[in-house]
Amino acid sequence: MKEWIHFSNCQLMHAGGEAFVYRARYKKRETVALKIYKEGLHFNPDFYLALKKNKHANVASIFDYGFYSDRFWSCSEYIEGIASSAVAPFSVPIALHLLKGIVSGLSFLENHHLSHGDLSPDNILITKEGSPVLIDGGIQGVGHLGYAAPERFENAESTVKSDLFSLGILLYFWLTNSLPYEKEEYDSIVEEILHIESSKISVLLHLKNSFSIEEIGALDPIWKGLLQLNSEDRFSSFEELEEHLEIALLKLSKQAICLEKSYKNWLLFLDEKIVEQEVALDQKEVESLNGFSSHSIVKKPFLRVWIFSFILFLLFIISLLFIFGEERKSQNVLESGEQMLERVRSREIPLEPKSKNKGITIENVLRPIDILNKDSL
Amino acid sequence: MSRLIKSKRIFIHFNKALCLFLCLFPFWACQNDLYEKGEKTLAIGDFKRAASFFSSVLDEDPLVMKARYGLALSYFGLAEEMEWRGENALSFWQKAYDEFRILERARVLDGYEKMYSTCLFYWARATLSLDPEASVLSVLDRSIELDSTNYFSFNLKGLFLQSKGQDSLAQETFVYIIAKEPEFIAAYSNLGNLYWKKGDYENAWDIWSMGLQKYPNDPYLKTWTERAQDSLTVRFLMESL
Repeated sequence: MKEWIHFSNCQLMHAGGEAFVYRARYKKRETVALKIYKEGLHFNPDFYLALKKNKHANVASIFDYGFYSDRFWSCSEYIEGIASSAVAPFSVPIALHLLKGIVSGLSFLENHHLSHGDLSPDNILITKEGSPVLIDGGIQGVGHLGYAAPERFENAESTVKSDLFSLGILLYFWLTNSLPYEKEEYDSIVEEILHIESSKISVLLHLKNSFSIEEIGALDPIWKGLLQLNSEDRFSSFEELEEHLEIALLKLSKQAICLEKSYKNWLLFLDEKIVEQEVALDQKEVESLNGFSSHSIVKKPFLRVWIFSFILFLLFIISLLFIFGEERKSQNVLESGEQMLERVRSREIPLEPKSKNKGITIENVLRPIDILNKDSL
Repeated sequence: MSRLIKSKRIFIHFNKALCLFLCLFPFWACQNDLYEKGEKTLAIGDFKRAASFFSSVLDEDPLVMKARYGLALSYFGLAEEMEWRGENALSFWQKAYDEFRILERARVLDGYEKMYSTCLFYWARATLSLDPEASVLSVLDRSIELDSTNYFSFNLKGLFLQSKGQDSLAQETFVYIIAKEPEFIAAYSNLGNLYWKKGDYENAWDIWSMGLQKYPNDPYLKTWTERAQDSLTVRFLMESL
């Protein structure tokens, strides 16, 4: 059963390798990010179902999804923010702060038995408040090549462990605005990823001459827990990563005063970039897109729904019983009418006129007591 | 897949419908609560409160015809109480009459016709008590049409016709009552009275004595039967002389 969805005021935000992204008006109400994927991309419906019903500050909500001329589309919450790839690099404390937010969002997904599967700087928006928001999860496939975990190249499903690896690469990008590999071809990247060493990352950072010894030292345990070829050697969970991020931030807390100032500047910088982006978008041509069929996100009927339905049904039955009970009782008005009629009709007719001289005339017979009941009152 | 989604959608729509029903149910129950109170107060003869409850129900939904019938009965009861106190209750009979008229137009409730007929009788009687010249014949005919066993209306119609000088029609009406309902004593007295006024003492005596046979202890019939008998005796003696 298809439902046709209308999007208005569509303005192209981004035309990437895998999708076209529009800012659009959904059902003439909310402004949304409409993403139309290229052919052949598969998605995980559970991802959309979970995000339709559950919200998290670091994960963009999904409103709807469906097909547009055999291509998959999704519309999600429009985040007024900028892709982290456009504003990197970040200082170490800011990068760690952002990563904490992303870890929080990923933990939320994990709680719903989901994995993002396509972590990359492009898929993380940063709001004016400096909060990171995950977008574009749920697409099945390797994800962004440069950020994919080694096992993902062997067709393994996206897991918490694979996301942890991607977070390592992501953190490196945020710090250096580059990837830890030099090659750009697919085979070469795969080759480099399969031989990545966490110890090499600290050396690479050192060679950048942009990081202090304290910063490199604080980050070292994080690389060791993230960028491991063998998934078993990585952190066991997002919580463990979060703890290490806290420790690293604590180690760098001496820079807190500097951080406060640089953080405010960074927020101003973000604000400026976001405003620029929005202004540029406002000036873009408004397109008319039609023919979106929705899959209307329907939650799987699980036990809770059935219990809810059963309770509803039970209340319905009770209500019906109540109604029928009332119907039975409501005969009382008719019964009361019959009783009143019986009382009125059973009255004896008085024969004695009030005025014997006049006999029974209308004037005296009409008196109620006379005509109906000589004994009444 | 599409079949699964379809069944899920039906399931969700079903749940939505149930939710809607359950949301509206309290409103209905609230209205029904007032109705139930109306019923209870009517049953115990607290007509004033019953009228108030039924009015509230009708304020919410004027199409609850049972509540309208309850309101008509409440006005009926209030009118009766006024008459028992010796007051003219035309205003309340009129209110009851109005409600019955709406019920009649709605044509969705059965079983109210006899009370409507009785209400019309009382209304006509109250009207005549204020204005003996008032034209109530059509109302009485409607009352009889609604309930052909309402001999009170027949009786009042006979009296009304008699007051208008239509003695033969009045006579037919009283005779009809006696034929159909021999227990309706008022018809004997009224028919006897009609004969008496016409000077037909013999028939007057016949009718009164018929009534007296049914109700030997009735003082009125007893008095007038004796009076008619005396008159007939005197006449016979005078004719003999």
